[in-house]
Amino acid sequence: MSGWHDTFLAMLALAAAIAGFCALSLAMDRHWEQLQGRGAALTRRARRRLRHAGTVGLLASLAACIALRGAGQGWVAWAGMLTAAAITLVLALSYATRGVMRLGWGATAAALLALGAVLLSGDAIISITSGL
Amino acid sequence: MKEGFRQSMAWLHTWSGLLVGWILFLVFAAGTASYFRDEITLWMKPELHSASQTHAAQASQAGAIDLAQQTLEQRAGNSRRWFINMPNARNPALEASWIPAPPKGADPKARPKRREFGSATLDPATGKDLGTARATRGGDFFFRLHFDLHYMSAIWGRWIVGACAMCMLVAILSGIVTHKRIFKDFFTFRPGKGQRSWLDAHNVSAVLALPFHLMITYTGLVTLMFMYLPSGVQAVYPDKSDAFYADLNGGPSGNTRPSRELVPLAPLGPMLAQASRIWHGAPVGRITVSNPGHANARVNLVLQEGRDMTQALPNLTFEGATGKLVAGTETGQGSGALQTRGVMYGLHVGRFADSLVRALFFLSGLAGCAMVATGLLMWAVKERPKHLKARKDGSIGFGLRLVDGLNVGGIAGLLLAMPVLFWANRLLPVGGTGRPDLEIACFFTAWGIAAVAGLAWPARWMWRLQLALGGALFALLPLLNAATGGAGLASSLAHGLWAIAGFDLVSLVLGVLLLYASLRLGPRAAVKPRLAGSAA
Amino acid sequence: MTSLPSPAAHPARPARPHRDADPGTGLRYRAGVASRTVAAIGGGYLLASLGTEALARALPLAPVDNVVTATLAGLVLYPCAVMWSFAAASALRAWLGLGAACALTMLVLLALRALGGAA
Repeated sequence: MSGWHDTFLAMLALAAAIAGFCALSLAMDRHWEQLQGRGAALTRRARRRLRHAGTVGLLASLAACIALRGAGQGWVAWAGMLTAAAITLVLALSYATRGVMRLGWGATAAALLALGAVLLSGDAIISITSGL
Repeated sequence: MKEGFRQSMAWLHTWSGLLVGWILFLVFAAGTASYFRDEITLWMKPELHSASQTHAAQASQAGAIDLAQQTLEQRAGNSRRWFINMPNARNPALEASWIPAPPKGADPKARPKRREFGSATLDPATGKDLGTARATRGGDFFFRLHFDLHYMSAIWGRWIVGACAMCMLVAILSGIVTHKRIFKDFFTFRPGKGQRSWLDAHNVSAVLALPFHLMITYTGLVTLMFMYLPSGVQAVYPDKSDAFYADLNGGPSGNTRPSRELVPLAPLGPMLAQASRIWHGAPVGRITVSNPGHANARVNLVLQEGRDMTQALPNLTFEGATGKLVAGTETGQGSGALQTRGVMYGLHVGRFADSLVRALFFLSGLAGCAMVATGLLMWAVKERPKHLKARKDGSIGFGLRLVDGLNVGGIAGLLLAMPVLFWANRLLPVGGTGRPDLEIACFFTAWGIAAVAGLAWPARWMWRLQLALGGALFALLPLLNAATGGAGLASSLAHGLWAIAGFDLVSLVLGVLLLYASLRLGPRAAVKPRLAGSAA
Repeated sequence: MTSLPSPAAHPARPARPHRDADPGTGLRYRAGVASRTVAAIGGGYLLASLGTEALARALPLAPVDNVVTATLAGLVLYPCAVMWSFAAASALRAWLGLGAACALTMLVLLALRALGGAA
């Protein structure tokens, strides 16, 4: 049913954006220190990995949005998703700092589950390529 | 030079934002509410709540249009223009409206006032007039408020809002220039640190929805740009602005005199069917009939919203007397410039958006309200220590006191007035003339009282009082809904009346947030001002 | 909310001081601000208006497209003029800059009008 398909795509878009922003925020000294305590430093490699992971998350979110609403509206939906995801991260970093890692892993898991559901509910490949 | 530039842009950002901030807060608040204007209107007509559940079912377009035509021929036979809005996802009823027939001897070019339009809300399946619902402007009040303002001519309102919108654009652009660490500070929010926290909140609400803020401000100006910058129109179409608008909208406006010859209007059903076929099965959204019943009648059909982002939707024109297609576009307006403008207009109005995108727009709009409010409050928080230091007797200057007062009244006061409108909608007696204006008067009265009180006593307790009142009024709306004949939450959730349930739930959440804010400002608040007396 | 650079990175005085940067100079400061504001609001609108008309006449597209494109651009001209007015090193420069831009646009416009009339 296209209704479920759309719902899973939306879930994927949001979860991937949250996971992506999680990674990107933790790649910054300021927020890594918030989590791990003052003076904790990221190795260059770890920082790069986090940034790559973050980018992948945001791009996955974009792909999901375009699959959901087509090329034009997809970008608009993505911008909105990024806003929602970023606000989530800001609130988490300020009020639930210890939980940010869990949020990131949880969002990643949710995104993967949603991706699976999208692929299983058929037409996924068609809709992604026709949306692009 | 770099520092001088940044500094000057910081100064510009502060003043372009501060001087018009309270109007901008109104525009953002009312505009954000407008994303759900149809839903708000439905909530404000509790008589329709049970009806809407049966008519969420798909009444066929063919049946609905025949019913509309019959009704209009009976009730608006002499009118020179009919408007029909077909049922859609936002509004399951069939809406028909018409210009009143001009009295004898009236100037034929005179445009009737909007409030004189006749209208009927019909059940699309049976044609029954649902219009026994109470008279109310509904969500359209907020929509018009955010660019026409109120209690003044629309032109004045649009110029004022336009000027404020231009200040907003300047504030955004100068803000981007000034914000040095825009990426580093992206996720930064440090609560409980006084001035620092306000700055962080302002930065977060501004940057995280920056594409939206830029888009909504610029496209807002675009919607009225030919009024604000008419020199282009006047240069290329000197004294021919009608021709310009005809080119812009893909057809003449239809403001022609009815011809002498009377010919009954052909059935609209086949015209709709033909249009749908041309549009590959897509439904018709809006129908305008000019001079029905005369030989030169014209029927214009517009594709239903919600597919393309552009506001310049495909439309077809038929001869009214014969049903013959005479003009039209299969796709939207062709040229790049018109498409661009159409998309910009469409983005601002957001009618294309489905539930998800609309919810995201709504969230971004709320971020915009937060951005304006935190900016205004931050200015006061920053200024206070300067005044106290300079004056040494604990007093503050006139400017700061004025800003303090305007902040309470303009922010908390407006947030209080909005639910008052909804309470008035349910508690004012039904029937009688001028009811919509009375509801609106309640809104402005509440706001006026809050504003005067805020200016008189711009203290923390006034903030707490107004936030608490606004919060309570919002939070109790679901109860009020059920108690005054609307579909309560249990009923609306059970029957899938998402519009009504959504209104109740959002009101509840907003109310709780405001009550929480009021509590947080209390004596045991966690906010510890770093500088003496710097708390708002 | 701009943080100034650390002293070691810059000489003791900025190379080109922004004349109105210090709010403590009373009347001179206020006059400068007022002057720039007039330039920004009035001059900015004039520039936007002239620029829109010039573009509308100069563009090679269909008439309605020319008008739409030009007006969209004009809306962007205005905030640029406002920002220039306050970024310029002095109020005088603000006026000169805006004046020059307006004059230039006016010249182009007069030429276009003449061409349009002759054609």
